Amino acid sequence: METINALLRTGFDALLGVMAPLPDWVELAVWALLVTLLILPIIKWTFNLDLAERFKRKVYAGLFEIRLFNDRLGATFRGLFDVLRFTAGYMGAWLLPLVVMTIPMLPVFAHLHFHYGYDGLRPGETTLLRAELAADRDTGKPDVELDAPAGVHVDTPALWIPAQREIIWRLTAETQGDYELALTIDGREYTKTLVVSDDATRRSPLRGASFLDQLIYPAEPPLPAGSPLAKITVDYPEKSSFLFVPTWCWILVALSLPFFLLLKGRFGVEV
Amino acid sequence: MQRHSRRVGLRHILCLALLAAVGLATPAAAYIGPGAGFALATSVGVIFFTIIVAVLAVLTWPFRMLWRLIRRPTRPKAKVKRLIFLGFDGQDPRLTDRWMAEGKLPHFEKLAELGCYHKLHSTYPSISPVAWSSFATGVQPAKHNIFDFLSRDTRTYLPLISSTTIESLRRRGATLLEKLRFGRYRLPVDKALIRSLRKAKPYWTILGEHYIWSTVLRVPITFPPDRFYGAQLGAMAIPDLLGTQGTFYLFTTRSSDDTFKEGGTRVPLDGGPDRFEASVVGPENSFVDGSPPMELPLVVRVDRPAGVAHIELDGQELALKPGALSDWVSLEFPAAPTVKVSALVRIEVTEMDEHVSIYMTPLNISPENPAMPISHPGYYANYLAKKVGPYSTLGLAEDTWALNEEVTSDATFLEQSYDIDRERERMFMASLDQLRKGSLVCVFDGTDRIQHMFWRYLEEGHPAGRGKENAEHKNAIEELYVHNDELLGRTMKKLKKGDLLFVISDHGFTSFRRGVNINAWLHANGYLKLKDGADGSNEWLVDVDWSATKAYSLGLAGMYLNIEGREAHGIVKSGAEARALKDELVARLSGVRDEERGEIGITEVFDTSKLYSGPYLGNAPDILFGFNSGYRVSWDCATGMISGPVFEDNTKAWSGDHCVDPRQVPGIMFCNYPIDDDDPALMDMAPTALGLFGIEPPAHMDGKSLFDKATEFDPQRGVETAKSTA
Repeated sequence: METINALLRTGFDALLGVMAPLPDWVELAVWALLVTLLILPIIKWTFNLDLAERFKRKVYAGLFEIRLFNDRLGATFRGLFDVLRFTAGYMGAWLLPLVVMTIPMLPVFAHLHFHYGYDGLRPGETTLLRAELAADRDTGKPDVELDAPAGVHVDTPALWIPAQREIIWRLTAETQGDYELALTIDGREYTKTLVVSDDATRRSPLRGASFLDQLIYPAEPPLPAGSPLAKITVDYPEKSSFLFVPTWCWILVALSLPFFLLLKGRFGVEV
Repeated sequence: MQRHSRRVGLRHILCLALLAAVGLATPAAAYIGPGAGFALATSVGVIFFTIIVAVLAVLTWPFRMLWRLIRRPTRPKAKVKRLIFLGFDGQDPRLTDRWMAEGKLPHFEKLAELGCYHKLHSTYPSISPVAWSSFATGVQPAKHNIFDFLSRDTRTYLPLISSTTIESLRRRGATLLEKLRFGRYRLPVDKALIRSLRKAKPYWTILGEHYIWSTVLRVPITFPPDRFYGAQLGAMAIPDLLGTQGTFYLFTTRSSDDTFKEGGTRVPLDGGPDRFEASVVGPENSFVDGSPPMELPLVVRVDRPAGVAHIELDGQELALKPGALSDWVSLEFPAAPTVKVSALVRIEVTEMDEHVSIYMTPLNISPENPAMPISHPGYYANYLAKKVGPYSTLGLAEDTWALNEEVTSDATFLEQSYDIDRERERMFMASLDQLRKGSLVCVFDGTDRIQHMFWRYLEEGHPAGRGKENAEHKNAIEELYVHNDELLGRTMKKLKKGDLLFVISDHGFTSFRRGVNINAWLHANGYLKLKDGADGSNEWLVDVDWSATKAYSLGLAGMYLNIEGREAHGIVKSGAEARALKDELVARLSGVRDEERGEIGITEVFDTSKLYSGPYLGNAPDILFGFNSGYRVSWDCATGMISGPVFEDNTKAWSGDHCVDPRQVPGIMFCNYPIDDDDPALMDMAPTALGLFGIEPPAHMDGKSLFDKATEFDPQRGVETAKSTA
């Protein structure tokens, strides 16, 4: 996983580096095209077209039935029930492609989210740095030090919250730049990136040690095995969202639909 | 047990893993890909739209009911809840009797025991378009205007379809439209006006006027469809996309200058030895100047070692083994950007050795996107397709011509016919399930078509069956009747309280051993003259010298006098001269003998002015033939040829027929209730249907109700009928 993430980071950084001069929406359009090209073969191989087609036909039949027998309330409700039932069936036919496409999509979206999902810190703004202790470490207050590079000011001493096994610092970004914060705990040093910039660049809100953290937060290498820390987080402000979904996701959906409609025939995909 | 629980456990773990994968993909879970996003968006749209429509339907329902109550002319008291007509076109009473006596038709027998079984008088002539029109309207042909499959153009003596006219009309603003051009495309300036020539209201229209619902499935002569309170899928006279009554395609490497006499087109397959190309020529494209035909390229790759032909057509690839008929294949002819004309076809590789030949059915109008009005309401054809799957729409869907021309085999024809019957059964059963109150009629054509094509095996010594005594499908007709019996059983099982079931056929069947060329007889007897130098071998009467011809025959049912003022070159004066000529022809033709066989060829000839009365009598043939069993108008005569003998053997696969003296081919009538009439006729069905729903049949109807007004129906009879099949 570590190797895959390292490769993906390199790839994404390179691609985003090339697209850096472009406006964000053009970048997203390119991603929309790439995503479409990635998922079309998955749909082709996993989508049960016959089953979906059967459901679609039944949905249409239900709609026609409501229209044809509109003077019979019973028939209208039966038609309505059929439409709902077979629409659910149609959506169910998408379950397998959805699950399969989630596997490659997960790292892709995680990486995209680190680029487009967070607002960058601006000089003068404050944020919190949190270090959570590993579960197998004793509950006593650890001996910990934070070393911030020039350009980042540590506003508060370490605040220990025993109930959450967490140590918190408040930081203030002073100048733009990519920084590396160094935490020393039990005599060993662990780093965490901090980006002070407005540009669409990779921001890692969390550096963790578990497999799950590697899966969902692959923007930084994981904490080494046996680390006394479970994770280190920086609170970047999240960009806007709609219906609990980040706005960039909606834009990507909107941009990828035309690509999908345009290209589905070439991949022999019918939905 | 342990293995089972382990399997269940594994399944649970897998499910959880999948759910976790989906659930944990925080942003990715929201974004489910363009395909799934598209599906989600459309699904949500469909649900939203449906709920709106349903809510509107519910909210407006009281007002619509009130409006109906106000507009309803009467409040008829129905005696039955559902009236069901199950039609088997051409089911013959003699064969039914024979196989009932042998115990092969248990459901027919049961229905006869429960209710009744009678022979049913057909119409004069006893052919489907005429008979089913009388069934629907309750009147004789001179009142509904359908006398044969064909009528003639009195200006040109050329044949016309008797039931429908399709005219081309210029659209409003055609001059402006002509100027609008988009590259090579233009907007069509003409539109087709399709009109039914069948007159008189069918009973379902009258029921509809009283807001009694009817579903009418594939009753002949329903193109264009009637507009009434109910739903209708058209049948006989619906053309293919080429506008013909069914033109099949034969793509072949065999070179031949011959054209098919009946409904087919031969297309050369170019290339070889393993790859061939051809074009499927479709309908004319009115979006392009000169209306050239639309074409789809056809590529055939032959894999002889594997015994498979790969056919590429309209973006689809089919792998077909020789002799196997494909499922329905949907074709779309591109007319203009975003405009496509849809068709359905089935394909069979008929040979793949030295030569390669591929048969393709006529281009059926696609029910999901019909190019012509084939149903009422317009979306009903699409509804049925969505409900039961794709189906044939051509009026005469079973490809009798291809079998007659020996392009397809007996097996292919049977498969096609049974598949069509199965499609229809699915529609019929779905409609029966849906019907709460009202009438339902469905006609199954397979009975007619299979008897036409397989009679040669039923009758010893039939000229078309010689040397084929051990044919694989020699029991095809018996198997067909058993199939009908099973279908009847499935129908009876669905009957409920208050249901009345009629099983009817429009005529019976008999042999077609000998063809009679009436035109040759007229020529031999001086009533018809040929042009100088003509030998009468050309079709459609083109060899006839009209200035010296008194009578001619066209179509299957009768002949016309060449009346002055009616026909373009008429020479017989109407009135006394015409009457005298008619009497003379009736006298001479009645009892005409086939000397070669020592049999009577024509038992009686009928003067239609004595047989019919009604406003359309003037359109009827002047004389109808009452052929003896075994005789019929010959193939040459039907297409207006004069040459050849008067009597000749019929060696075509089309070996059974019913275009004989109607008294020899009555139909059948079964009902799950005894009728109050011992001599029912097909024409009685419409007034009977009206009477059963408490409506007085209109005075112009010639038929009579088969039930007395006082007859009380036991509503439990429907339930008993259903139980009797157990």
